[in-house]
Amino acid sequence: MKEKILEILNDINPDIDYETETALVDDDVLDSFDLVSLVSELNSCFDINITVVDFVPENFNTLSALTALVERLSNGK
Amino acid sequence: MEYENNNWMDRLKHWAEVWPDKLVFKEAGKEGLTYLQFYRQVCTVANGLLRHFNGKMPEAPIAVAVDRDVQSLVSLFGVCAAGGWYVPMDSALPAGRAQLLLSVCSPAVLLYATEKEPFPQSDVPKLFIDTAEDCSVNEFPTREETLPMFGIFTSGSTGIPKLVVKDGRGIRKFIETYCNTFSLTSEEVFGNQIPFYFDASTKDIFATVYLGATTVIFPQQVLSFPMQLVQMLKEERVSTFVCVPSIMSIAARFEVFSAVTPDALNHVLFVGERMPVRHLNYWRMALPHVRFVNLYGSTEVAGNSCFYVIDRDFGEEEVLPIGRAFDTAQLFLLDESGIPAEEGEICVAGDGLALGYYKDEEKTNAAFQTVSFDSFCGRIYHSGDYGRINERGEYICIARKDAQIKHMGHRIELGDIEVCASALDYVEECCCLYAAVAEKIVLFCACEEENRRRLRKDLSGKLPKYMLPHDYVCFPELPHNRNGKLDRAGLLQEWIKINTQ
Repeated sequence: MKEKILEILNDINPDIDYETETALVDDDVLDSFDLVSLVSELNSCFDINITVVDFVPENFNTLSALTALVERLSNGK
Repeated sequence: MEYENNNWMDRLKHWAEVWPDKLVFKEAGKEGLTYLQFYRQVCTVANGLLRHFNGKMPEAPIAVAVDRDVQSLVSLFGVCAAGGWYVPMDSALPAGRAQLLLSVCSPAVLLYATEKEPFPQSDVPKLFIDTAEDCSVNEFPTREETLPMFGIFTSGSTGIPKLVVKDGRGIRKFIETYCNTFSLTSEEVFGNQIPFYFDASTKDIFATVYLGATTVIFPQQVLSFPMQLVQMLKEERVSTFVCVPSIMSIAARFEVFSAVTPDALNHVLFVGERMPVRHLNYWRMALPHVRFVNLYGSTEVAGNSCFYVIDRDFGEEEVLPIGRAFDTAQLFLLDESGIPAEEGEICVAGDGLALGYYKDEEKTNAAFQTVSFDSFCGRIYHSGDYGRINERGEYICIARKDAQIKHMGHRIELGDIEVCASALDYVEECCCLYAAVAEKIVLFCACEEENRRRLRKDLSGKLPKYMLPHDYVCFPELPHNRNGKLDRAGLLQEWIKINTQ
């Protein structure tokens, strides 16, 4: 799952070391356009629905937070 | 009370006397400054500037590095109070871009309010004024209203950004008209989303001080996270919100009002690009008591030139009208021979017209012309937008006539991106296009495929983030049509075919 998310992230912007980056949102690495693309890719790829409640910076700052989010939403189905 | 020359300082002083403890500007979730505190800090900055310049402000502008904070506004008002004019610059600009902007405006000094010095690579003289020092001086020189008040950078098709210079009179007249048109009062709490280096933020900043109202500055992040946005609108009791349509679209896609209702909100004005009706309809349904307004304007005209208060239902395929002109503007649709017609280029006349592009007579003369026809004689601005009048007598904006696009509310000249890309030594030729269906900026380059990954990185050192292309395509050679011109239409079609199946 992590690899797949990494692949999606690399499609959006390949120049970032997602494994070490800890402030994807807070440091403005991903802008709002990137984030919206990311959410729609994650939704369709994992067949989940990231709602407004989960669409908060805490869930998008690191690759591991993102993975945790996708895992939680996939398991809750 | 008449407020004319140096009117903003007179206003501030007035409110500082009447409502010393009322908040004027604050950052969301933080304390902010009262009118009296803000006024005093502005005096300190103005005094510091005058001391620096031996009592008289220079003719050149004062560049001001701005963030999304109250101190940036203290600096902007400080320059006005001292009798100078300012050029706001995003303190987060990449070094190359900052250098380019600084060379266009050649400021007397770069004023900054943060601990960290902005643009360390630049050798422009820099000035930091500590607003913690109190200042007893509160008499400042007046400045003729017809002189420049501030300048705003905008993307230029030749790769050199243009500095639009605006006079104080146009701004004052527009702010008066704006507040009257929508019956805004001192009770207003403005939610500021638009960065201070963009023209559209002028309304929040100066309407606040005109009315004796309050502005809450939202962090950049709310643009991405709709939940934070509506929570802030609610918690800060925002009544009037000026924003770009994309922020409303994102909020609509996430059906954000299912979780929170910003109950103090009564005006939402959107500006900068076309608002998708589907998303507007979501907002209207969720917030039936709010008045929604479509604003239309150009940086070259103070404030906005047109407004349309949404007063009826629209289908998803319909285009919202831009309505009618504000009292400060006069609109003409000129056909190819420059004669008023039912359909043509939107041209604007009136008090709000900017003075022109700084130190660029050629571009100024091309965009601002003095014309005369039966009903009118005077100066007009050619917007480059095409418009028509509908059967209700409302103006509709149809299209652009050049390569200028709007993305996430930003005005971008594709040529500006092309110039930066062409300057890379491994790019033989390039062409930048906007795929509107996918809302993506695509850069096509004649260069080795192995260089593809360098493109984004190299461009990010030269262009602000909002101008970076989203996709990069490399060819050994770019296709040309029979006249030898780049086949832009063909490239775009091909890209759309491959990427939007």
